[in-house]
Amino acid sequence: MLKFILQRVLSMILVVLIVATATFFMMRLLPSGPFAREKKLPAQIIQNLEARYHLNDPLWKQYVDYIGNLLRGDLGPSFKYTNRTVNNIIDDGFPVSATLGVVAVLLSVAIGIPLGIWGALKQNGWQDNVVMFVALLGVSVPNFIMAVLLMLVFGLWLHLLPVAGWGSIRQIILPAFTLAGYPIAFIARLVRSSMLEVLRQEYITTARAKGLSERLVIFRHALRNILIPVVTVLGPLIAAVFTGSFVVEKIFAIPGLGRYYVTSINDRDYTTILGVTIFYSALLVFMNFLVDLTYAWLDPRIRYVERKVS
Amino acid sequence: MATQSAWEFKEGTLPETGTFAPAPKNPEDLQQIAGRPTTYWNDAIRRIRRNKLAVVGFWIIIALFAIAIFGPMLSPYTYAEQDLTNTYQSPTLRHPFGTDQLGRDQMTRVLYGSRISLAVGVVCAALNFLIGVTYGGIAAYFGGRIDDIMMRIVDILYGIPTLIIVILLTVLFKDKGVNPLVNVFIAIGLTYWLPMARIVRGEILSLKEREFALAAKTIGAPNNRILFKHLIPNAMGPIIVTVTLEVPAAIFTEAFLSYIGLGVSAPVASWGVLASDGTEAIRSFPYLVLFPALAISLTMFAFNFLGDGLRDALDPRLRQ
Amino acid sequence: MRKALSFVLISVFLVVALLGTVSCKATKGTLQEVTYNLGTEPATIDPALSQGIPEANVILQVFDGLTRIDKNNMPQPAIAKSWVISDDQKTYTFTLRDASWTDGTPITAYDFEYAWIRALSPETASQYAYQLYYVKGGEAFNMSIKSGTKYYVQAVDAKGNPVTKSVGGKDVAVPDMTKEIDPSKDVGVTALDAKTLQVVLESPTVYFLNLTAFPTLMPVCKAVVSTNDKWAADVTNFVTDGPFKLTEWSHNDKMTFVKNPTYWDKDTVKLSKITYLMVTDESTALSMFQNGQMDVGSTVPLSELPKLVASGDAKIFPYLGTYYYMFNVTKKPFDDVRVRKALTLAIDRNAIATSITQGGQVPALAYVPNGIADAVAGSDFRTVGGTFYKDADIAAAKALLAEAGYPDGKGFPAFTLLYNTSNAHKSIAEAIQQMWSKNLGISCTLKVEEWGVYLDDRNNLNYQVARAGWIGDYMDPNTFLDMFVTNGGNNGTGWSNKTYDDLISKAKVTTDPVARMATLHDAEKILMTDLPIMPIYFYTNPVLITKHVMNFYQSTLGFVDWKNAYME
Repeated sequence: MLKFILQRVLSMILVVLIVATATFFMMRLLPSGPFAREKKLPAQIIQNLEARYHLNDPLWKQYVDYIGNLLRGDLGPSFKYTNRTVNNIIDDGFPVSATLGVVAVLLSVAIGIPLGIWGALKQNGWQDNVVMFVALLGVSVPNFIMAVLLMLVFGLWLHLLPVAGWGSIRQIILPAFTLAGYPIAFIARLVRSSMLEVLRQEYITTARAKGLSERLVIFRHALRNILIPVVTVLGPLIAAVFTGSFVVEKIFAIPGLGRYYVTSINDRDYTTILGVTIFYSALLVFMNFLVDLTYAWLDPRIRYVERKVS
Repeated sequence: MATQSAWEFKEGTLPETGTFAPAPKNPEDLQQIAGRPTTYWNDAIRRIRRNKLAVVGFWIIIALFAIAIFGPMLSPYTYAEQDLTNTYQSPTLRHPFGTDQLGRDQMTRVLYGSRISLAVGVVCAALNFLIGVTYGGIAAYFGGRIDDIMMRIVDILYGIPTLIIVILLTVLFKDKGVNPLVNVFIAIGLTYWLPMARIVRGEILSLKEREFALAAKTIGAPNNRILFKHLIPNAMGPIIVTVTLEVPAAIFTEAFLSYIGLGVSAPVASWGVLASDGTEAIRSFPYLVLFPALAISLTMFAFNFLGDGLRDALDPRLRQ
Repeated sequence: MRKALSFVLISVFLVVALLGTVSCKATKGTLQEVTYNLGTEPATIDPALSQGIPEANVILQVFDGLTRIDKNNMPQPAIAKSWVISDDQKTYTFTLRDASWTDGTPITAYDFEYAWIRALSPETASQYAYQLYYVKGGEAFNMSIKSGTKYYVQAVDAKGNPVTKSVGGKDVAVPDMTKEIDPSKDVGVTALDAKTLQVVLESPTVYFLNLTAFPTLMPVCKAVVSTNDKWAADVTNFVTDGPFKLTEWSHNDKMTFVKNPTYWDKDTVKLSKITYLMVTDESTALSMFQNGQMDVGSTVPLSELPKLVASGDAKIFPYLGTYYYMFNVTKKPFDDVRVRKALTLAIDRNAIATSITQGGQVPALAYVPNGIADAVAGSDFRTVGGTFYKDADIAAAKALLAEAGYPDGKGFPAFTLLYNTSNAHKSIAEAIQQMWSKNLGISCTLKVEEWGVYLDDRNNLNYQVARAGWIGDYMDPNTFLDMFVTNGGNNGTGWSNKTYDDLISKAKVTTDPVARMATLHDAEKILMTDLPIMPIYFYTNPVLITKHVMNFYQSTLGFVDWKNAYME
């Protein structure tokens, strides 16, 4: 197991470096640069700006410098926000996005799993139909419509919650539900589907036959087996949600990290693009690593180290 | 056909794996022992017909495709025809879905938009099956280093910002005369199979250690047979769920792609584009977002009903 | 199981309901506090590094320049209490009033000198440094090359071409070590004493006193800025001299300003607190406005605009800008002026303004928008210049197209109309596409591109017809007209006209206002005869504003000034 973990950590670092390298060169292929404006800047001013940000160095040197700084934990200055570094941007934005993300993930799990189990237990009953209807609605209404609807209904018309902004617990509710909409539906459907299969398996029948209570059967025996697809979904979901969603943060005016994934590319803010990309992919590979560890815990038969079968 | 073996060797009905020795006979023969090859598909069709929702879903899908093909021809308007003196008309008999900010008939636009959105949905689903399922299955089945490398590639594709790739694609395809939808398919094809690959891998990692799989391996069944005939059918539940959830996401992604210049050009508009444009006017003119959103939802429901029915019909373990 | 689920659902519901009932709205009364939506995070709060309107809207509240623009868009004395202009209109001598920085130290002419030199020095890399090119030696200094601690002119070879050397594949300018630029001597800004600032211009510039109110030309506190290059990174060391003081900056979220007690004109300032929000989404901003979370908002969703204007929640302010399409005149068929004119005449601008943009935009029948003073007091450059063509003159358009060899659009090559991502641009492009098709029988394909890709294609003349827009930098027709000189950085059309170039150069050195304006009118006439661009409408600037806000001022350049505003 230790060997597996070591190997994985190495391959994770490699993945992040590959992502950083690919992003570095692809982003430099994008037309226009950080100083392109509708009112074109005079050539000399662009030259001054490029000198200031070392963009007039040869590309390979910029790359080597960047990776060197990256290994020291320095993500460089933002090209768009003078006086701010990419480290500043992540320091400011990540706690906000992560706070929202924790709530959204908890909602997804706390609502999605029970809904799915309920649906499976009442298969084809009206409860099941309602659950699946809601779940389907959750995925076929995209987050940009969901966000606006929630804001208008709960914020503007019912005056139950602030329409947007950040700073109070009440301002978390609407964006968290918007973020959780899709995962709730996804998880509920996955759980229902897996549960239906598990419930037909003989060990469940056996457990029931032994006279174990329904609750015990479900929690002791069935739940573990339905969690594998849920955990698979949760890994990338946590990475994505913790680093912020562009749509949700824009619509609810939340000062998180999410908006930088789009605005930095539109601004050609090279260091910010790389910084947030590297941050996200590092979190992603780490989460997927946790997912694989969780698999082994959920189903002890899963082994990652190759076995010799004689 | 050989899927039967899956339910023949159920959990706990077999002794320890180690006590098995490779069978001396032709493995194909062994696999056929329990087979009822002539009735499997009949069975499936019979069962899917009994599932009312699945039948309804099937007919809705047929109807949607018919509308996509013939609908725009029947409309008295075209999707581009403007009337600047009749903008933002509420639904009436003349314009059942109302008119948009340029006075165009929204119903015609929704009818026409179905062509793009349905195409995107179908291609996304196909890619999920072709690439996602196979990729995830192979990674999990072979495991070890192969799994590590294959899944790290998935992580890399997850990590690189799609927006950069998409902008580069718009530059690459500029003035190349490529059908704009092909560009959309490529962009969607780059990323939309990734969640599926991860889900299938997670399932197969667990399934391949189950007794029925070990048994099939022990009797010497070839790898691709075990993977595609035994393991993947057993993961059908999560696969169908994932497909049905990826498709609407892809339909909305198409809207985003066309917003930044990849895909069909205005005034043609897909459901996704109509819905996102309509959202901007949701306070005063909610019908503009309502109808395209309803169309997407209806499609999703239909595919889900059919998908669930298919899964129940095809899943080896659910056969009674 | 059902219990567990009910528990989850009920607790979720309870949390929502409980938190919901706590909702309370403070009554504003006549509290002198205002909340404004800036719409985006400002890229900087350092005047020298300002990049545009969001930055200006922060800087103008916390800084006071030599002059300040009043509600009639005219410059008024600010830190400069008076000035003397030499007879050749090239030397300005400003006398400063007794005023102090927020740290209590007095504002001196040395602070201005330092600030302007700083904005011009190449290593500051100011994007608006060109606003100081009017100052003698300003451009040369901004273009100089630093070597060691000194600045040198770029070396030129015998033919006058700049010398470069290749370093790692990139061309780098070579300094001419015999030609040093000493900013303290060679740039025309000098502090004669602590209270007297002398500015020498390259050539007479009639709008120079407008420019001294521009963010880039604001003074900075030399003692602070020269010792701390992070002075504008946060509010702690941000020493300013304007009507308000920045006390909080929560990135991407909000900024808080309070009235500056050390401001020289503090008695005029009535607001005690301003909160800036950075809500990007227009619909969200409207919801917050309607919910009482903001008093003034810089954006209004297009589809709601007519309703909001009717209800009095939105006001339409003038905006010095023109929305236009440009033709790539280097490619067929747009190298033919008759084709360009036919396309220009064949669109119905009035329908676009009334049915699509709906913000009181004025159909543009010329290039320079309304709102710029002409030579005679009280006259407007646009009114004096008149119009150059009729809106939706379809008969004439058809005739021109036939004359160009495409009767009823027959044989007209298919072309592409390029615009950048925005639903407003899309709607206008769709409408114009249909107008051309209906009125002229020609068809085009619409092509949307991501901002950077679009700019790149535009700058490289890699388009046929493209959307564009121009917002003036200062209140003079020159800010619109000088961009179309041959190879001008913002020309973008490939158009070149010798007479036009000469007229623009002549206007630059003409001091007599009547002669100068006449020259600019002549230039505009050439532009509007040759039509390398097709003006569509003159911008307006709709703003969400509650009726409690009085004396709200937004300049026609889009700059907001809260100095005189108050709540009622």
